[in-house]
Amino acid sequence: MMHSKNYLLLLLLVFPAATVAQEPELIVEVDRQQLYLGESIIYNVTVNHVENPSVPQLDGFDDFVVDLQGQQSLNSQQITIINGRQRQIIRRGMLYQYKLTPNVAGDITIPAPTVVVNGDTLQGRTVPITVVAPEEQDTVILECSLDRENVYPMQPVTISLTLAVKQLPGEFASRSPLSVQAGDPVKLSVSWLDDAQVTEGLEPKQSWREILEPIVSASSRRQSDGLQINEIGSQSAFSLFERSRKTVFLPPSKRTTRTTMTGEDAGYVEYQLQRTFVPQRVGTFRFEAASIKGMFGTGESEQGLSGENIYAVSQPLSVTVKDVPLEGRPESYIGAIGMFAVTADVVPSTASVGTPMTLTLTVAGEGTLADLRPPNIDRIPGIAEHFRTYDATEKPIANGRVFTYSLRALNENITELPPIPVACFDVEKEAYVSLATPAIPLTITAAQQLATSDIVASQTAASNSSQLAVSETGLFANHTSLQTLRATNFSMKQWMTLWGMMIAGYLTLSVGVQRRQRLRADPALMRRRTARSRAIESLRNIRTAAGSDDKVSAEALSKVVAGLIADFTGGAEAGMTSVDAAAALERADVAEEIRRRVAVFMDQGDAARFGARSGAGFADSATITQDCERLIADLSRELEKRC
Amino acid sequence: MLEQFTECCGRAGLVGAGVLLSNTSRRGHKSAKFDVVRKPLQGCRGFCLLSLLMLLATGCGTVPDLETSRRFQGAEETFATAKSADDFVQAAAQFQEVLDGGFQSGSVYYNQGNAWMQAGQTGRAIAAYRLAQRSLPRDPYLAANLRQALVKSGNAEANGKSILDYVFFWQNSLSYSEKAWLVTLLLICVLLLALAGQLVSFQTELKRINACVAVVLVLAAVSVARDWSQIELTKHGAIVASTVARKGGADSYEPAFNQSLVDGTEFVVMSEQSDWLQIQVVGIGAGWVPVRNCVTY
Repeated sequence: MMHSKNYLLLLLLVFPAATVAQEPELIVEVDRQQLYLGESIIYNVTVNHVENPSVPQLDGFDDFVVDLQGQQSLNSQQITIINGRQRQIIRRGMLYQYKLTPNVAGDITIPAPTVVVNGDTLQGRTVPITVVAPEEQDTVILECSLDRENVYPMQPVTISLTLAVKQLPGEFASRSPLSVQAGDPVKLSVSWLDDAQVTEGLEPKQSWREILEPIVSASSRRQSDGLQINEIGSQSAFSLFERSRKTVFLPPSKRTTRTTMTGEDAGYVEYQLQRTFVPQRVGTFRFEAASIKGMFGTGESEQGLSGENIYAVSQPLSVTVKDVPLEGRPESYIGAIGMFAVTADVVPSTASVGTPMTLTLTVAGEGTLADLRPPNIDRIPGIAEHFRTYDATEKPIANGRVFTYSLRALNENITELPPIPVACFDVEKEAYVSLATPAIPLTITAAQQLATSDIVASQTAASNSSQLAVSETGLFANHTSLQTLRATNFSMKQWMTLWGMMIAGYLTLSVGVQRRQRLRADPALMRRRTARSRAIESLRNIRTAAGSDDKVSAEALSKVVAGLIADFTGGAEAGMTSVDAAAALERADVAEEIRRRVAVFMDQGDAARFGARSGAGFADSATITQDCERLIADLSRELEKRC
Repeated sequence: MLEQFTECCGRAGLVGAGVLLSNTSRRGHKSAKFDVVRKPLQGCRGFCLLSLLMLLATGCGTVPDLETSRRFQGAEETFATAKSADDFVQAAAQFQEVLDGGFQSGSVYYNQGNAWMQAGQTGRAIAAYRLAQRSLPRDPYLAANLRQALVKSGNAEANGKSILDYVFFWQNSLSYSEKAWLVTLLLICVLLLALAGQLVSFQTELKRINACVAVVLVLAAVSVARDWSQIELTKHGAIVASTVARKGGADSYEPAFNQSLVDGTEFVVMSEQSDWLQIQVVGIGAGWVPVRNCVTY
């Protein structure tokens, strides 16, 4: 199958090689070019043949909400040797994946991204897309609302989705409008119900499972009353229901009356979904539009209910999380937002002047700790003048933080550590709340007069206790680098197959080598193998010796034929006459015709040897040579078959 | 595909194999004096190439695709921002999704083990660390975290070594796939030397060298076989919730041990019967435990 000349040898070598340099390029790809307003497309931008590229600039994307989904390194390096030519292929690049959500409908163009490479600006291509606006209709109405649009960090905000579906016409009016889709439930897409799409900085109060599990439709397998949400159960990797292909949810519903587009009142069934989020930081957070598509019953026909495919989309919403107010901010504010409690402890509570003591201040509760900082106890009256303080260290704990200060009493008149005031911002009250630790009784005595030896000992002890050492507790960190992340799938079966093939290949080669060596050890066989080539070589030598005279010796040619026969039949070449040759050929069962030709040819040689060269029946030199050549070919072919 | 193979071998550190091929190739183009040698060596070259190409099929380490990368980063983010045990369980579940997606990586198992440890589920953490060790046998951080998990569960790693452990001193220092690579390279050496032994005049010396390499090959092959037996033929497990091992596969049987098996106790599965596992706790004995209180691998 593979000839040795064509083998592709793959080597990994460290010595230099010819590098195939390629021009930098910006590749743009989208997963589709037609979508509904409210839907998103995946937009891949690949910066190719660039080492350590900068992030592409997406200027002019005003018609889109752009969300960077992730990036992947495309760096690789290969060295190949093809037919002895070494070639090094180096790929350098990065793939950036975005989610683009158009804000407007119609035929629009995704602008070209740009990236700066070595001072030059590289531009990708523009991509035309079609954004289809939902048709005006009043059968399905999707509405989203927030209970408040401006909040402080840690102040919960609830988003509600109301799906109003016009009740079915005529005799079907009493049926649920989501129960007539005949096994193909309508599909609702709500990004804020998908944890993977929830904006960073918004902490859901309930998991999506807690919201959706209670409303799994009991009749989902038979009658399918309800709707699919975010394709859970069919595609979602987070599916609880691995065996179910289509999980159907039926949110709580109520029947209401609404005014239709024609101004008439009509009955609707309203379904509602809610989720509460707790903002963790200041900023503006966007909730993407929800959308629904599927077949809805809109009329009656002779066969029964008739329907239409409808796509509806809600408006996107956003909530602004504002920082705590500067006005009225107490000096003791430590950046805690929420409800917290503060405790303090001093160890030891009995000490002499100058002895180090440890003050532990614990702030714990419900709220955001992102900006939490240790209270500045230097400014607290009663501490500043009686204690020397040192910078605090901090350690996170569950729902809080522990600040540890080192203190030294400056005099023996101290009886307590004064209360430490701490202020937090209470989002419920939307006001600052002041807390304080209780005063801690202390007993401070005069400093002892130590002997020099005690001081030395003390210093030694202190240095020992503070000696740097590796902590034996705690876990080492995760492996986080994608560069080194590798899958190591292993199949023993494949390895065994490989080893079997290697051994089989070896055996095949080994048999071949042994056979060749055995053949080489047999002189008669080697003589037979080389007989034809030797005869041809002798003929060539005779021609060369004849030179321009073009006179060849019939006797010499006869000897060539005799030699050929002797080599094949294993006889002696010297002194072989035409009779001997004929006998040998007869023993070898050579065809009569060839035997006759050999006899005639060798007779000519004999005649030449005994002086009859100019006699009748002799052809010219060229003819004799050609005759000899043909005879050698025919004779060899025949003898190769027989011997 | 070939480029992928080259890259793959680069990661596997097969520079030596490449050089070996290169030398063979050059030697094949020497003068006519070695004509007898040349053709078989050309065959050898093809044979070696074919063998190495087959290595591709046996699976080198593969890089994650975009979806896997995203899932991994998502799990890492969940881990990094986790505040409660439930959050760490969520992170462990997300790492499991990466694994369930077919991306079996020692690093993912290691991170999952850390998540389980932070969630307080020592048994699951030990199982994850053990699986990670199969791919990352020389990772000191993995070893340290596993040691902590074992200490936490009160099951320190056995110190006793058998004679086999001394003979196969590299057993725990090379991964399963590294041992397979080693066997492959040694096999190539043995076969090439055997083939060369039929062609050259100094056959005796070559045979002695080949015998030495063959001995190493046999040891490496036995080492792989030990891993195969341990990993593919033996099911291991760990207790994930304190449970009473019983003398039979039902709650009605008497306890098998004088104490409950605590979270993190490791065992070998001997047999399975409906919702119960017959297990062998190393150095203690056999008993039956409910499947719901175990994790097996």
